[in-house]
Amino acid sequence: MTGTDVAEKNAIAGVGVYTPRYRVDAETFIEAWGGFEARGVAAKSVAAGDEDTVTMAAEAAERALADADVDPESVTALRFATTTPTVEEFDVGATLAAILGLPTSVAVSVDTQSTGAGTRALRAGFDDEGTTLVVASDAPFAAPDDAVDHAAGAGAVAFLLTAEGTVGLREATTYTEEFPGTRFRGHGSATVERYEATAYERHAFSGPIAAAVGSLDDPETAVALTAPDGSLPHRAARALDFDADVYHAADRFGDLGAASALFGLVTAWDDGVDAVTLVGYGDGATVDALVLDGRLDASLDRETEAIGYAEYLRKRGHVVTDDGGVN
Amino acid sequence: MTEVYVIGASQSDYGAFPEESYRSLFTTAYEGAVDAVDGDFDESLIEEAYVGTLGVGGRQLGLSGPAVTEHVGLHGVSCTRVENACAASGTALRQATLAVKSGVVDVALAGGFEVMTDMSGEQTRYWLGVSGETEWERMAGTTFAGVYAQMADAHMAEHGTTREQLSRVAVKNHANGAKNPHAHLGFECSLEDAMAGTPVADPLNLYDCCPTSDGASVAIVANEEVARELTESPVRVAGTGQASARVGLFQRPTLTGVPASRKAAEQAYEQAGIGPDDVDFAEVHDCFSIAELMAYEDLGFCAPGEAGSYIERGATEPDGERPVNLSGGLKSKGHPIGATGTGQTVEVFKQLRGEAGGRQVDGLETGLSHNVGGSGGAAVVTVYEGGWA
Amino acid sequence: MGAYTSVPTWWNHSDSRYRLVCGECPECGAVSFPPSGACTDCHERVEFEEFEPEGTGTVLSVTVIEGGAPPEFASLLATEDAIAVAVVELDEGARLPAMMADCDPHAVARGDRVERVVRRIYEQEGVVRYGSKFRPVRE
Repeated sequence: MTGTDVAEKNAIAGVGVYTPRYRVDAETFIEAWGGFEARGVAAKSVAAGDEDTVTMAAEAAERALADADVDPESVTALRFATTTPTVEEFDVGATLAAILGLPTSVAVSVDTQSTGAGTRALRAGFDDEGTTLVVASDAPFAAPDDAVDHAAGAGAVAFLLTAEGTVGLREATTYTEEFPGTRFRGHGSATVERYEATAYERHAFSGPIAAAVGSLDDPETAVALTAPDGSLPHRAARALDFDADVYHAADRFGDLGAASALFGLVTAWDDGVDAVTLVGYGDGATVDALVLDGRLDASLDRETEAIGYAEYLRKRGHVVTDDGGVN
Repeated sequence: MTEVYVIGASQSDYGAFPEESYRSLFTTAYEGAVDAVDGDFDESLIEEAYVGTLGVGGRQLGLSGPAVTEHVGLHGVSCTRVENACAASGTALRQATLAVKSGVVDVALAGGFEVMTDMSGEQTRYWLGVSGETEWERMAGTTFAGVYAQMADAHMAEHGTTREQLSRVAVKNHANGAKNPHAHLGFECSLEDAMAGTPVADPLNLYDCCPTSDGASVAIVANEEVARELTESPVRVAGTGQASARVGLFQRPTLTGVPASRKAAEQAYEQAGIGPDDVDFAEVHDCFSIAELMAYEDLGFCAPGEAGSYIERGATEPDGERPVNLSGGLKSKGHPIGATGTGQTVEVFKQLRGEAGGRQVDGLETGLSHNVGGSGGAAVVTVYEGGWA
Repeated sequence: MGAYTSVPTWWNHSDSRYRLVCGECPECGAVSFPPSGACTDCHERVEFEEFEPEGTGTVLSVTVIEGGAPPEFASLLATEDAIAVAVVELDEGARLPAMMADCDPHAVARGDRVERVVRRIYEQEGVVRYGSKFRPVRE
């Protein structure tokens, strides 16, 4: 599908990024653990004790609204994506809408259960009529000795889409094929688990991505992908039938879950790229591949503070009980 | 209207007493107050009682007044529990005074109690925050020390008040409290120690903060007719003032003073027909060092902004022009919340009658007590004079 | 256990919790926060003209809490070590108590320019209460 009617469709008019200020680097992990299981992650962001996926989403969303110079009252749809909603049942979209001051008529949807949720929400936003706020916010969590937790970062990205936006969707494809057990979070569990059959997992990641991108009519060679770590996106890119320039943010921020691919998109824009193939992958597996034309300015830089491993564990909630005691 | 006299006043020891209860502490204070009455006092003359307590720990939140007055045998009296945070029993004294002054009763009791040291750490931290504005101030993380720290920060910035001047409050009050056998922290501290205390809420350190204490106090007030029958060493309640203000610091017009204290002081001075210059000595509400400095200004002992230099020149030392907190104050004597107000009355009563033992200052005629609730949502000021009207 | 602010109480003021909605007094023009009760300046009972401020202001006074926090903030203190708590004056005039976020608590000082952010305030009875905090304005 080539976009002949792009002008009538929604396009991205504003972008906002938020990462928490704390950073922990690979060296700090190696000193504490004797190793660091997150390949290609040099450092990652860590949320403060008063942050969660809702507050990070609010930060990014307010920046996107300001970037597009759009009044919150005029937003008609809110699409919120996260694999780590703060509650299992309850529409956190309503909380986010209230924090942002969106009108009570706003159509709220929450995409979850998939690291591809952010890309899926963005894709839906292109099809919306009216002003859509797409927000992806995540902070994956696993056991402290698990590679998923070593990689886990925290951050949020938001896009404001209107008919007047400048970054349009050229084409989009989807690919779905079942690969049981690769990465999942069980019922009632706070921690993500992996099956840990490495070859199978790599196949489950690269295969669907190659299939989705392969079915695009006119993919861009700049490819922004979901990045569970800093290595897998490069491995997946090698399976494509063209030489890709890979963009992801896992090297700087770690695994950003449902926001991961969208951070890759912003990273590409930050690098001056103005046409990007955006690939959102969710274990299951499903892939959305989008080709976007245009770019917006967005900085991923902010003032940061490096923390040690013990501080990291406390901020991640690995050792602190609900009443402030220490496990 | 009759004049009102304090005819007896006493307190329990203040401190940490695992073997005591709020009732046993109140009993001690009550019996002491009855004993302090000079003549042969008939306890059945007490017809009205006001008992101050915040209710820390929730041990008897309902009917906490009768829970102690019936316990000491004041059977059937009209008893009211008074809650005004840390100004509870200062308020009780005002109510007792008004009851006598109105002619409704001849003799009334004012008192208070609190037990604060027997709770778990979590309970203690919970209860210490209940007198701040809960919905906004406490939910912003403002602890009780924190709100006074904010006032100290502003006072230091606006008036140049120094770390050393704050610490001088602790040094003076500990020196005074070391001479008070009832004091919770009856030890002296050096200026160096006081300046180097463990941080609590910047800029306040441990030595800037009063302790949490167990204790009780009682004052018995009577009309002139009864007082003349019982004593030849009268202590008259010459003036009483009370005022309120927004509970949260953020909703008050100043961060560097307590408007309710100013208003209460104006009323008390006017009623007593005196001005601040006539006050020989005072017991002021020094829950934190900055609170005593602000009290100097709010009570008119010195000009606004000059409290730092006022204490620095020794004006409020026992040998200064106007001794403040000869008892040791909340800082050294202790702060069993509900007992504090009438506990201040005990010290004024003793000083005016020359019964303060090793900390007695001679020649005192006019005393003042100043009791503040929370960070200034309520304040009570009482002026006392020795001798008959 | 924590200070008991019921969920409906919190919800009643959610516009002020989230976006600092203030009230301008039609009698004297002063701005009150929250916009309920008598005007904080002239003390008249009025119908406030509610408005959403810019969310920027200045620190009037600040302290750092390193211990003794009430139970509702025990876990935050455990993860963050210290909490800066300020009185902030909004550019529109109202004052409010506010926790600082997203910064070194020891680096906050009177006179600092700050902006509103929304954070978790605390959790009670399984319900997270969100509300405004402030962080230094970074140019």
